[in-house]
Amino acid sequence: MSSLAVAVPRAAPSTQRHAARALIRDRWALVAVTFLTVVILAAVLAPLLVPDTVNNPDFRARLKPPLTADHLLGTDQLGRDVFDRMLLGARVSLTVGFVAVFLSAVIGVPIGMLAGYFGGWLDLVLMRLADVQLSFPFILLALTINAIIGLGLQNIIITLVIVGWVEYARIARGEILVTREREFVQAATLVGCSHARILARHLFPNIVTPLIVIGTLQVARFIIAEASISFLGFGVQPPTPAWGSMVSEGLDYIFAAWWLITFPGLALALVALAVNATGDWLRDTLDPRLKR
Amino acid sequence: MATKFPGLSRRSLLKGIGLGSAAAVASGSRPLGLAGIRPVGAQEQRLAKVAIALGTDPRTLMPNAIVDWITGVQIEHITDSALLYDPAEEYRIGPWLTTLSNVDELTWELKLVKPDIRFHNGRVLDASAFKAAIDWAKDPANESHYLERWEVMQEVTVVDPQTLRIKTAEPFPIMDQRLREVHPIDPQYLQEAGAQKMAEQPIGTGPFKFVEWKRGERLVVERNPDYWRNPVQVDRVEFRFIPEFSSRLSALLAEEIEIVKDVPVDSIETVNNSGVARIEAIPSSRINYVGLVNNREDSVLKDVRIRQAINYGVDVDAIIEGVFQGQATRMAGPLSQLNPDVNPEIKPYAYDPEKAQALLKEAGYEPGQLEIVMDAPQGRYPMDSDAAQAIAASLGAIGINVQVQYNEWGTHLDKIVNRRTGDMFYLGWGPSLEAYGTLAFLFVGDSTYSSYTNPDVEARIAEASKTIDPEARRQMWNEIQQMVYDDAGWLFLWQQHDIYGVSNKVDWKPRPDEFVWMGEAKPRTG
Amino acid sequence: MGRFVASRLASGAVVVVLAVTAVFFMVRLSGDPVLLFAPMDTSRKDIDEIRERLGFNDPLVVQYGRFMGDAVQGDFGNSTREQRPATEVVVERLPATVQLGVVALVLSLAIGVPLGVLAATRHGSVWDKVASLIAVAGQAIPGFWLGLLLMLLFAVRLGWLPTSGRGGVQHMVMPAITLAAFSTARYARLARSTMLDVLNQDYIRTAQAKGLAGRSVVWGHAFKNASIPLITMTGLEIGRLLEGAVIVEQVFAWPGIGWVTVQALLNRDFAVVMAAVVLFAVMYTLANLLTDLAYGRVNPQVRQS
Repeated sequence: MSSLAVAVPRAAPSTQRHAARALIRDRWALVAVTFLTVVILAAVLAPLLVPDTVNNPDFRARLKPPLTADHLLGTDQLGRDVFDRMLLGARVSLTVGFVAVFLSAVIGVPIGMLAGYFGGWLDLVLMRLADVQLSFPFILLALTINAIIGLGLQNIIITLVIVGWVEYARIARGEILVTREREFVQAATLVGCSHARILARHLFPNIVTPLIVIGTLQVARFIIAEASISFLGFGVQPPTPAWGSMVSEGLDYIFAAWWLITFPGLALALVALAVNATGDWLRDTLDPRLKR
Repeated sequence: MATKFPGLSRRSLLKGIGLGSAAAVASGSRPLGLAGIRPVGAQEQRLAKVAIALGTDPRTLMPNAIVDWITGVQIEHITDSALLYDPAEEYRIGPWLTTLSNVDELTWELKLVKPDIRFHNGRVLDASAFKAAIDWAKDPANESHYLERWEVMQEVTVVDPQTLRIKTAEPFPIMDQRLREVHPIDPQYLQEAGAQKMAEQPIGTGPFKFVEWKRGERLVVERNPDYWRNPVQVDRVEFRFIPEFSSRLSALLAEEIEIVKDVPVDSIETVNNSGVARIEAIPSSRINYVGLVNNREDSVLKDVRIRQAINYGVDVDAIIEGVFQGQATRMAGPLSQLNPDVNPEIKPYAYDPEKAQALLKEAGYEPGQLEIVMDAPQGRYPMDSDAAQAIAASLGAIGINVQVQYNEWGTHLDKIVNRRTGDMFYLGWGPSLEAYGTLAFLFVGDSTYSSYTNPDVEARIAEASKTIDPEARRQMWNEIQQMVYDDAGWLFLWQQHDIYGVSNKVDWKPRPDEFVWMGEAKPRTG
Repeated sequence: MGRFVASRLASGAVVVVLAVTAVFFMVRLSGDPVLLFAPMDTSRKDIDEIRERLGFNDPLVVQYGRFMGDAVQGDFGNSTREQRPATEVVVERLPATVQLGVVALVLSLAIGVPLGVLAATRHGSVWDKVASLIAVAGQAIPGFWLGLLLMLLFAVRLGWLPTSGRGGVQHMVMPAITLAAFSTARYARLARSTMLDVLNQDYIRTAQAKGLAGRSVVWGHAFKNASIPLITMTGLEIGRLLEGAVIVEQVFAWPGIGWVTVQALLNRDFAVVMAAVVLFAVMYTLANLLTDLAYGRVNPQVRQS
């Protein structure tokens, strides 16, 4: 480990404190992080806050506007409470975003690292694969995959991972290509460290930061992708309330019940906004080199 | 005309297969055939334009090629069909360009209702145009959807310019159904232009002439001043292609289009209050039901008691009220109330949760023990996804746990046809205005979309399908309906209502057979 | 230069073939097209006959071989839905998408880049905050949501613009803005950060110290250097615009290639999907090639290496 501290010039000991200070200075980021924390808390606690019957239809209470008794944000076409469903929806949408990003990274990063480190055919295959994937619009690819494996929360995540991992592989590869040439890596090679050790101990810590930053930004993209996919007729299974599918279901009521698309849409946009802002802040504080 | 059916008056025979201008004109207030053509008024009012929003392009403009509602709606403005559902006869199939009659059990005769009907290019319509249409579709090289459907028309002969005879190998009582699909084509134009050009620039005898088809944008047709049937009161009809529903409704409210189909029930008020458009709703002959699978070995629903329990246990009326805001009509048995062949004796299953639970118990299930997966489409039929959830909730209350599995439409069809659905599935069927098209397809165990099998029912259906005598046939269909009702073959649900948003400038009424036609649309006054 | 182009085109061809192969097997796994276009009262026997006639009963590999054999001759087969050549179905939609894409791209460059530059030159000011907000918001709003809200406001409520369809300039406004929103945000972000980087470089400081006018420093020196990443991004951005077009075309009934491809996917219209894949892949390859060439123009050193 001691060699690492020398080897990683960016991992200054004061990073955390620096980040905290930057957060307080940047009110914008502070708001974003706070908001995100609240949403994540709500998502985690949702099952405790929301009655079990939240998805049961109640026709007597259908399409009540916001601020009617018991219904802060109104009810939908089946008389279900919009606020309660949005709480559960936070859980679903954030799960989609974070899990898909995490799994994409878990699959993509090792492959990208290996490709970048060893080069050769693996690299060639990976780069062509990335090109293939980029040459077909993401959304269409997602639709195709979803058509094969069917609708559902799990399947949406699988779909997003299938289309998402390549991006991580590309980024990891790019980072490795740059880092590989640096002195400390060269030194480690000379000292006779195994490839595995170099990859895990020397290279990986150096590329974690950009990956986290990009991952954060990707969460927002995936949350919105879920919305777009369900707009095109695929997506999670009703009555599962993902924000995206709530918005696209609400489209039929766009003239009759404005709140059905407004609130979940707003939630979606605000979370995406907050996630993006958080990502920006992470980038600025953790890795000034990555300003883009 | 010779009939071979002793004991049957000519008139009832005519009525049974819906033909004969004499009968139709006598009973109908609507203009039909020769006698019904309205004189051209001196101060005839016309609409400059009617635009109809559809989700997509026609698949072709070649008539007799493709079975598809959106395609048909557009083609039928340009070209008439031989026969058509007749509102004056409970929407049985009646005369349009021709009348239909039997010469004998195996021979059918089409006769033009009027001698001097002309195609848009001026040529006179005669019997050879019908033969050309049938021959074209029956040529496998043309890959027409009607190839298999019209196989039954073994021999087609032009007797004289006004008369066409069609011979079948076996009695085929639903010949009128098939001839409803026949659209005559000018054989000379087909030969000169070729099918490919005809598919893009068709001519016909219809109320509108082809003007322009910009793919993905619009199809434009203009008034045929010499329409044979009635003076057309719309100068120009545009079909606009708008895939997203809320965008279609927006276009109606922004007065860009005049007619839009499938307004969601909750937007009815919005349209009616808009000041520019109103709602025209009508019960459709398209039905929605839940198949209770008994034609698969592994289905728990092979037990009739559970099927009955499901019928007693779902509060269909409450769902119609709650989900559809009343915009659906309950059906009792497997046919819609609009279907002329419906058995009027059958009354819907009463909502009786206790009886349902008792039946379940009898079948050996305690509440909460039975788990069933129900496959449902999303956005294919009005309110389908909500209705499926409501059905599941209703069944949950009597102790059957139903998990709804929503499918993308293509997958849904695939699962039904390959028998991979759960033990229940949600489906729509229609437009259906006679018994055969529903019963013979959905209650015969191994037919494409069937969920149900029962040897007695199948034997009876086979018999009815060969019976030409209308009275005997009706008896059999009634019986069959009673059988599948008693046997709880489906969870019987409702007829859809077709809900159109119509501009206040346009006087037009929808029909239960989903025939959207501007041939009789008028300017709306007042 | 010629060799560079040739090798890029060759690897582009590989990409096209791989993309076609992958999608071929994927769409065929997605289900049976016959059920979707045959009327529902078609018998099993007839369905099977149709399948046989269209070759869907053959093993996938055989179908693939046949498809590739025809495809290299430019024949992607007939659309099962429209019964005419799939290439025709796809290619006739190309102009609409290109038109929309180009307008959106120009729009996002014209708004996003100055916005980013402004934010960078007045780093920390209100302008910076506004630009950042727009940049982040543009990336946070689902396209269909924005599109429908615009439609409700400008077409239904105010009646200024047509709700949907293609026609004159007025038809272009809302789809282009909706499509541009995302790209504008990205351009603004990128322009801001690269400009910040460049403005902190020594030679800019030197130029400023020499007393050169602010505007000339910003646009003459700094921006020229900052434009390289912007050009690089444009290559990728074209792909993203195509992606956005899928949604925007659907919302505004814009008769483009995205709409037709979504329909083809939903209808399992294999031939059309394949033709679209090839077109997308070719466009992607060309876009990247053009980017690289433009890149070389701005920065001759890149071309030589």
